[in-house]
Amino acid sequence: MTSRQPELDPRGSPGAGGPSDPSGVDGVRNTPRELAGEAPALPETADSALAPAPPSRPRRSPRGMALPLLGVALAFLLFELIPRVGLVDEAFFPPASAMIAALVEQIADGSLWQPLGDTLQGWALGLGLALLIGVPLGIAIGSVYLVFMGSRSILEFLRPVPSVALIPLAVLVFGAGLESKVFLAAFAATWPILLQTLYGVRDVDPTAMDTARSFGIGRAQRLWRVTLPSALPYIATGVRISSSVALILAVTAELVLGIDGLGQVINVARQSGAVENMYGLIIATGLLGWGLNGIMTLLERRLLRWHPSVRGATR
Amino acid sequence: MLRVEHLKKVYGQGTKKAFEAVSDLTFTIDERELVCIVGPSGAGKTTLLKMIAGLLPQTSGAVHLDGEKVVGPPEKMALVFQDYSRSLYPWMTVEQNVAFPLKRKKLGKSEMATLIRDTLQSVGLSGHGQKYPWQLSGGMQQRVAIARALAYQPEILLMDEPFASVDAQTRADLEDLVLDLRDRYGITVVFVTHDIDESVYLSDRVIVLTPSPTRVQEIVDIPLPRPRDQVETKELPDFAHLRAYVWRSIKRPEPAEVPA
Repeated sequence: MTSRQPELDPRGSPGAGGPSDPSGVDGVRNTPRELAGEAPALPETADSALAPAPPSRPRRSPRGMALPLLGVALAFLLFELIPRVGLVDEAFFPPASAMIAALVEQIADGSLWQPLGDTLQGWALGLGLALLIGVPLGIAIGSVYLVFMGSRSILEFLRPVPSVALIPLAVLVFGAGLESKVFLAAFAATWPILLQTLYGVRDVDPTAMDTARSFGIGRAQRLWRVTLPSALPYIATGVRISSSVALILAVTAELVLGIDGLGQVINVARQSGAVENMYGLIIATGLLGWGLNGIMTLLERRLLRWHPSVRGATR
Repeated sequence: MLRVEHLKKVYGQGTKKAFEAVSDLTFTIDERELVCIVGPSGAGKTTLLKMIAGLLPQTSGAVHLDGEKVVGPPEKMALVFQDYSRSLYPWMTVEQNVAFPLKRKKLGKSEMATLIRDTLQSVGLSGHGQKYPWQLSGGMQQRVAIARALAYQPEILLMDEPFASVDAQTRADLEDLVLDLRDRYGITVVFVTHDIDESVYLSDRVIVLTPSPTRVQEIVDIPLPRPRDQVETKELPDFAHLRAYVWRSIKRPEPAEVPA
C-alpha cells in the first residue's frame, strides 16, 4: 500500500518533478495531474506534479530539451510507420505526416479558426461562470463552519455526478446551442474551483489570522487581505484543473449535440470520410488544451511569485 | 497599567474532555515595565497571552488595560508571535507587512512612509523594505515582525516566545534590541519565554507560573542594574543568584506526566 501511494497520493508527488524524474516524460506527467484534480490537492503538491516548476528549469538548456524532443520524434516516426507498413488500415489511421499536412492545410485556408474560436468561447464562458460561482461559494462555505458541515454531504454527492450525464437535461432546458455548451462546461468546471477555494479558505494559517485580529483588522478586511491571498494557491490550482475540464466538456457538447466548434467539425470530418482532416482537428484540440494549460501555469506562477513552490525559480 | 484578575480558562467546558489550562491568575504590570512570564512547557503561557491580547475569551476573571476591560484586541496593544514565518505575510513585501496594521490609523501618505521608514530603521532593517520576508534570515524576519508591532504605536507590546526559533547569537542581538526599543519608545513589554536566562536578563520582574492548571508560582523582582549587557550583566553574582532562584522556583511536571 505504502509503496504505491507516492504515485497516487498528491502529497507524495513533490519528488515526482524532482531529481527522481530526470527523464521528464511530459505525456506521463499529465496523469497524476488529472488524478490530483479530483481531490482537493495541496498547492505545493499540485505544483510540483503539474507545473514544470523549479526542478524542470535546467531542462531549458539545449541538452535538457533533447530528450523530450527525441520522444516526440520517435512517436511521430512510430505513427508514420505503423500505417505505412500496413499494420493498420490507412483508411482509418493515416500516417502522421498526412495528419499534420491536413492540419496545416486547415490552418492555411483559415477553416480552422471559426470552430477554434467557437470552442474557445464555450471554454471561456464556462470557466468564467465557474469562477463567478465557485470562488464566492467556496469562500462562503469555507469560512462558516456550520455551513461547511451542513453542505458537505450535498457536495460529496453532487461532485461525482459526471457532467456528461447532464447532457439530456441541458438539451431539455437550453436546447442544442451555446447555452448548453456553457452550462455543461460551467457545471463541470465549478467543482474543482469550488472545492479548492473551500479547502484553501479552511486552511488559512491560524497565526496569520490571529495576527490580523490582534491588529484590529475587521472581518471583511481579513477576508480580503489575509484569507484570499492565503487561499490563492489553492484557487489557482483549481482554476487550472477547471480549465482543462471546461475544454473537455465544451468539445464533448459539440461532438454529441452538434454545437458549433471543434467537436462538431471533427464529427463532420468523420461523417464525410475526411479521415486526415479529422485527425488534424483532434491534434488541434490537443494543442489547444496544451496551450491553455501553459497560459494558466504561466499566470499562476506570475501570481504566486511569493509562494514556496514558485520562489526558488524566481529568486 | 495591565491588571489580570482571577483569570481562568477551561477548554471544552461542559464536555468530558474539559481541560483546565489556566486555573487562577492574578497580577499587575505597571507602565513601562518589562515583565517576563516563565513556566514549564505546557504551562498555558500562550493561552494566557492570547487572553491578555483579547484573542481568546476567558472562562472567568478579567483583564483590564488602563482600567478598561479587555473584550477584544485593544488598540493600545501589539503582539509579536514566535513563528514569524506564519505571522508575516509572504505575499507582502517587508514594507507592506509593516504597513498592514496601519490602514485603519488613517495616516497621510507621507506620514505613513516616514513611520514605516523610521520603524524599519529602529530595528536595523533600513534598505530591506522592498524585499519579501522569506528573502531574509530568521532573525531579520522577526525584526520585521517587531517593526510591524512598533509601527502600530502600541503602549504595550506582547511577545510570545519571540526568539525561540533563532540561533543564540541572533537571539542575544534581538534581546538587546527589545531593551533598546523599550527605552526609546517607552512601552510596556510583556515577554513570554521558557528561557530562564533570557527572562532574568531582560526583566524588571519575572512572573513564574506553575504547570497547568496554571497559577502564579511566584513573582521575582530583578534589581539588576541597567543598562544591561550580555557579558557584564551575566557575570554579576546577582545574575547567577537570580537565575538559580527562578530556576528552582519553576516546578517541573512529574516525570510520569511528561509525554514520551
